[in-house]
Formats: sequence, C-alpha cells, structure tokens
Amino acid sequence: MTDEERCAEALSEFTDLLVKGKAPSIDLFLLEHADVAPELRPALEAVERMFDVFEAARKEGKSRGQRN
Amino acid sequence: MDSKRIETLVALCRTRDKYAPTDLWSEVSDLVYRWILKKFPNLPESDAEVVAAHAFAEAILKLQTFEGHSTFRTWLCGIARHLAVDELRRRGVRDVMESVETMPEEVLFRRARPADRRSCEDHMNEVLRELRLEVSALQMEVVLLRLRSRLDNAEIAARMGTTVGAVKNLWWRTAPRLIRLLEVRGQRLDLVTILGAGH
Repeated sequence: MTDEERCAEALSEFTDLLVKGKAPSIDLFLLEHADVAPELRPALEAVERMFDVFEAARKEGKSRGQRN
Repeated sequence: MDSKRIETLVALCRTRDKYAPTDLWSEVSDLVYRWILKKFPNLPESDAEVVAAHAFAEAILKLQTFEGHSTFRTWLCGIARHLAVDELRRRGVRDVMESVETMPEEVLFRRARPADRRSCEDHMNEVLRELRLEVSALQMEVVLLRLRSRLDNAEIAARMGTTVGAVKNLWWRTAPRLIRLLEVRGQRLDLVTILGAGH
C-alpha cells in the first residue's frame, strides 16, 4: 500500500469514528499511523473542524425544530 | 468601518498572526460583498457572497505581493472584480454588466449586516458555497454525504455507484481544499462551533 493509500484509509476511518461519536483525539489516533502522521495530521484537523461546523448547524436546526 | 484598524489588521496578517485574518474578514466582508453587488448587477446575491469570500481568500494568500500603493480595500475589490467577471463568463453571461458608478464607502456600509447575527447554518452554507468553487462535483457529493448525511463509505459508494476505495480516495483528495479553506476562515469557524455547542 502506498503512503497516499494509507492516508486515504486512515482519514476515512477517522471520519467514520467522528460520525459515530467515537473518535479519539487526533494525537492518539496518529499513534496508530505514525509513519504517515505529518501528511495525515492537517487533514484530520480539517475534517474534525468541518465536522464540528456541520454538527453545530445540525444542533441548531434541531433546537429550532423543537422550539417551533 | 475603521480604516486604521483595517490597515493594522493587514499588517498583522503579514506577520501570519493567527487571529488577524478572521478579524480582517469581519471588517471588510460587507464592503466587498456590497461592492460586487453594485458593480455587477447581473451576478446573483449568493454568487456575490461566494466571490467576496474567494476574493478575500486570494488576497490573504497573495498578501506578500500587496505593495500598499492603494488601500487594502481597493486592492481587495480589484481582486473581486476579476473573480466576478470570471464567474459571469463561466456561467455563459456574454454581456457582463459593470456599473461605473463610484460608491462612497459610508453608503456601502449603511445597511451592513451584523456578522454575529448569522446562524451556524448560515456559516455551514457559506463554507459549502466556497468549497463548491474549489472541488469537483464528485468530491462535493462525497463531502455532503459524509458530513451532512453522515453516511459511511459503503453507503456513499452504493449511492454514487462506485467502489469504497474510490470514495476513500475522493475524500482524501478533498482534504487539501478543506485545509486551505479553514486556513482562511480559521478562528471564525471555531467561534461558530463554540456558539453551536451552546444549543
């Protein structure tokens, strides 16, 4: 498996964990992927923050729905 | 609007200050958005927002080339002008209407929207609009299915009629665009998620 394939695999795994609410901290996750950590870290951070934005919007929508 | 504050923030951005781009965007976003709408009446409002955000991102990325012969606002509007023309041409608009009217900045700011009244959903949609300019349609579909619909790889692959490996690859290739987008929007998104967590 190439480094790029390893990164793609790891990013997908991390995203799945985020969606399920089971994601570990990025530092912890990278311990399992130390060989590609420098390339992987910024991608994990970006996905985590994007996920937070979507999550905040989702919660806001839900709370608005409950109020109405 | 405070010209001095804008120039101070520009100087801070040059030093790669972590928070300055967000503060600068708060100061100039309405100006450039309104300028685009006035200048290009046949550009839809939603596209004007995207062009404004894109112009700002470009300005920050090219900030080291800004020599200060004009004000930052004038320079930013110049970038926005090129992007707006490109966007209209991309949409097949043959006659790009460009107003020659000059607009005093106090007029532009009269009806400025308070940025902090915008909802988390507004921010999410803004992010999506910006992202749409940066990634392919397939990548965009993966982003939406991944983050908005919360589907896993197998479900996305089935939905898109492709393989799980292809979905993983598309998701990985989208990451640099997300990173770039977040570098520009940075702290503002942190604020959105903090506010969102309070709901």
